[in-house]
Amino acid sequence: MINKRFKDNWSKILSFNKNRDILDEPEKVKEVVRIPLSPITINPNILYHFFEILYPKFINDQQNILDIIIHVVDKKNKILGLFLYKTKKAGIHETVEILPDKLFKIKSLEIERLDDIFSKVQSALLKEKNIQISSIRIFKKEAIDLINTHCEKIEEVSLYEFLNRIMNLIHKILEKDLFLIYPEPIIFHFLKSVVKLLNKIQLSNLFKFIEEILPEFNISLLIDGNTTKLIALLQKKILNSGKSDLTLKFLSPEELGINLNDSDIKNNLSIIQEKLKTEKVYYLNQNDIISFISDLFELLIPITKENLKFLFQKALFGYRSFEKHWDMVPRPTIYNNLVRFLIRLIGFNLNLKKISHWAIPEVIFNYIDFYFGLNSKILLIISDLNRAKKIKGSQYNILKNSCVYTILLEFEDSRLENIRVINKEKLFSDINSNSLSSIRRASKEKYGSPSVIIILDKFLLQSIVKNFIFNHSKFSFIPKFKTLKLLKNEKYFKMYPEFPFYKLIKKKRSISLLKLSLPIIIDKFEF
Amino acid sequence: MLVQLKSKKLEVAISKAERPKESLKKGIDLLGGISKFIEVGDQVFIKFNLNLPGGFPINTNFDVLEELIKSCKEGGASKIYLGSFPVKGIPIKILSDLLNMKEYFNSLGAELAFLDNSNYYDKKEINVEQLKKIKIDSFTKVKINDIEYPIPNIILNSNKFISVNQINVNPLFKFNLSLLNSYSIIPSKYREIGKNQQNNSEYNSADQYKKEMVSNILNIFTIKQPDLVINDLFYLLEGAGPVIYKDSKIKKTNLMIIGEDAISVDLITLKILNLEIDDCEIIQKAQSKNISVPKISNIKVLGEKVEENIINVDFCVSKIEDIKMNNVSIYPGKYCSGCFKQAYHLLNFMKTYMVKDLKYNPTNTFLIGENPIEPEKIGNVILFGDCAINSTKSYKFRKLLIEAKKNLIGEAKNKLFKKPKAKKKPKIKEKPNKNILELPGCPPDIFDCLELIMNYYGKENVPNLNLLTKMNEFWFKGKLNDELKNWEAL
Repeated sequence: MINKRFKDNWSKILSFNKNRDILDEPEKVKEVVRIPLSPITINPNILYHFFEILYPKFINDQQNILDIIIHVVDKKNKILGLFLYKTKKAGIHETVEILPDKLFKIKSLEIERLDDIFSKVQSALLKEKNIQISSIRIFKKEAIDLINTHCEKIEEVSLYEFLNRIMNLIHKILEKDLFLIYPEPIIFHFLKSVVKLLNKIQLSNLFKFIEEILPEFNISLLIDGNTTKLIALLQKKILNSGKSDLTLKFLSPEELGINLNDSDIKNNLSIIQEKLKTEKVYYLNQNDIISFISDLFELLIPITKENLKFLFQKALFGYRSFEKHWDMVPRPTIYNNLVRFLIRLIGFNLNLKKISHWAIPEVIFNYIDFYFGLNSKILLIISDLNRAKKIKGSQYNILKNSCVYTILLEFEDSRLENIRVINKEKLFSDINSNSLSSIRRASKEKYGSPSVIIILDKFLLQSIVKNFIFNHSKFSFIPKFKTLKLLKNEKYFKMYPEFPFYKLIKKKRSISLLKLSLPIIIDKFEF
Repeated sequence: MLVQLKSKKLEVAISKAERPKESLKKGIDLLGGISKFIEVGDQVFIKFNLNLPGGFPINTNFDVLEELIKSCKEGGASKIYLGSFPVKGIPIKILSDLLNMKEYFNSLGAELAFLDNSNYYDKKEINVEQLKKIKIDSFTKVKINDIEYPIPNIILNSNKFISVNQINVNPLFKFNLSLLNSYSIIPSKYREIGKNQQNNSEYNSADQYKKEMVSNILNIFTIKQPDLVINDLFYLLEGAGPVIYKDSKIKKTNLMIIGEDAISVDLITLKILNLEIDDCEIIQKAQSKNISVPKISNIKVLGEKVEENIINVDFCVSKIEDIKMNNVSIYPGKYCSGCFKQAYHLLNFMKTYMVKDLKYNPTNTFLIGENPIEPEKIGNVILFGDCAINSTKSYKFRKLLIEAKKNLIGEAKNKLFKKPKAKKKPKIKEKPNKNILELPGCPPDIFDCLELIMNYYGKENVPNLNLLTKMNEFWFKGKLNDELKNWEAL
């Protein structure tokens, strides 16, 4: 029923998990397995730790799981397979036992509630096998078919292709309710809500877009857990063909042949940098990452302004905690006290360790509320001017030809309630028009009048991501000023109608803008 | 020119739908359709809420305006104007440009009325004399109870006058009544309430400010009564309002209350918001002004039932000291509604847009009204309004007691020559306290206050306010704003 390669790989994982306790040094096992459903190879011991940490945290922290495969025909469910995982530790799948299909019956999922099914399964298992389970996972046959298609030649596909495929798989499974789990974990609820909110936007398209705006990078991460350390290598290269080549590897220090000292983080990072030949090496604490992701998944969709503010504050607090919660090598010059002192002499207080995590979200959200309103419709047009280099004529005409995505974001009481993809052709249907007001008019007819139209070019986004996110702490002002200059250029960023904060960005010189905003971004006091 | 109060049909529709446009349409249909209100060839003036260059619900919902314009056109209106006077100091042209209103209304087949003639301000071919003539031609002065009110002719000459009123909470009147919406058909300068040569105590205890304001609101109402009143509470602003502040929230009720008679519509709105007539000074005063205030039982309610749609709303604070802010202690004295309103807006403004500034300047004492309580902790003392400034002249915080510098040489000599120590009391000097910020005015103007606050603290200590000021320059301190002042003076 299930793809053979998937099954073989899964069996290898189960086998390792089962025998792990009797191995002398499980971390030194030479054999590798693939992360299920992916082409990424990994040391089975690292995968064991992933399951050990992540499964109880995000899915279920109790033992024993039953997988049920059903086939829905004429609103009736036929059980195709029952697989019992007896887990000594929550999340660590060691053995699988195939149970007879007729152990119990499930009526239509539309009639029966998941909690009732769970109780029924629980009593049947108690009676027949004298075992209690903590969770059931129901796969519809279509989900298995999709998984099988996804797993075809999965070892041979590139990381880019895999990510694309997995996004499609998740989207289809969640959109059509092909997979159910009880008790429903928060992560599952979150993902389902995201898919619902995204409406017709495919997760794979979102991934493609994000991937396109990321610059080339070559970095590694040292993730410090309570008992284990994990190294991740992340690379993006843009090939001559214009396509991206992504690399993601998970390694243990033993695999790299290095010994990491618990007390000297900087030295550890330098060793990793030398070994992997990466531009930068970051040190992250596993607990911090898990805490942030937990907070993210706990957000109820539609996300309220307060929750989003809180998450934003948390992310900024993490960012300002350099050399406390995270670290990096080479140490950025911007953190050098002498350099900061010299910069301060010319009027810029640029202490990234004092970023105003508590005030920045307040300022941003309050201005958005005031100018866009508590209920608003924002029409976001993403253009790609590089695509329409040869097109000449009015700004409207260029926009019409360079537009790649048009999305309407609908907010109610500052909550993002709806995302709609707008038909580009209909939006630019007024061929005689030369102004953005015609876009507003066209959108108004079908979706209501947008409060604001924001036009953002992909090149500007790429520039922001490169200079303000990837090179956030790089001591080079010229690229940053260039990005600010792009922000002032109507070709790359335009807002209609022109609200005061947009006018301010356009009117002020980059240096003045920085001088005006830095006291808000950075806290004044050094202590 | 005074239009006599007509007897209006005491029918009010309460409509409920999934979308604001549908709710409006349903309400008008319940009253018999738009043809009951609009005749073929009518010139219609739609008075909507136009306050600041911000998003909904600071101003009326544009989707509702769009549907109303559509209905008026269906009713056969030959010309549809929309307009209102914004808050003090802001020309309509600036709001129109920032919100792109002129173009937007034109695309709907209606026209934005520049009631303050601000569409002429930047035209070089028009000189002062010509502008004065335009102004004279645009207004008619209507005298009521010895007070002259300039009313735009475009409103007086329109066959039909429609009021579309977004319901937001209001610090003075609990919520924005449709009568309050009608009040802004006169320029903001004429809406200002000035204090006469009156004793402060009398003025404050009688709350003369509010009385005069209510009287003016009712006078304006009698000049031109709306033919159709729409109280839009589909999305209601609660918590803090009527502009968007930190504590502002939207409540979705899906309701609209529509009728021919403004007072009846407001009365039903009061009822829906779980308020009594006693809670509303405007309607109470209307009774004594010979304006017909019907009994609620005499109003025929169409559509939804009142009892099934009662909404409990989180209104604005009723006491200034109830505004909770970081690092600001509020000490009230006896204050009038004018100072309350302005202080309410200023404090909410600070709470929303000056979070960091308040953190940087930790101890602030805000004194308002006549004879406020003497503060225990001093820090920066902010005196809000003339009453607070004048009545605290002899307060202790005005002077600081400082120990005089020790005579170190004298003490050394005494030690050297082993003179017996005389038990001297340390000398105490009195110095005027410089950490006092006076915000004058009766009541003070908020934008002037913000400027004074920035000068007092210094822009490096109030980065949020500095950014805000720079942004406000685009709509509050430009050439057009100066032109508006000149226009008002003409």
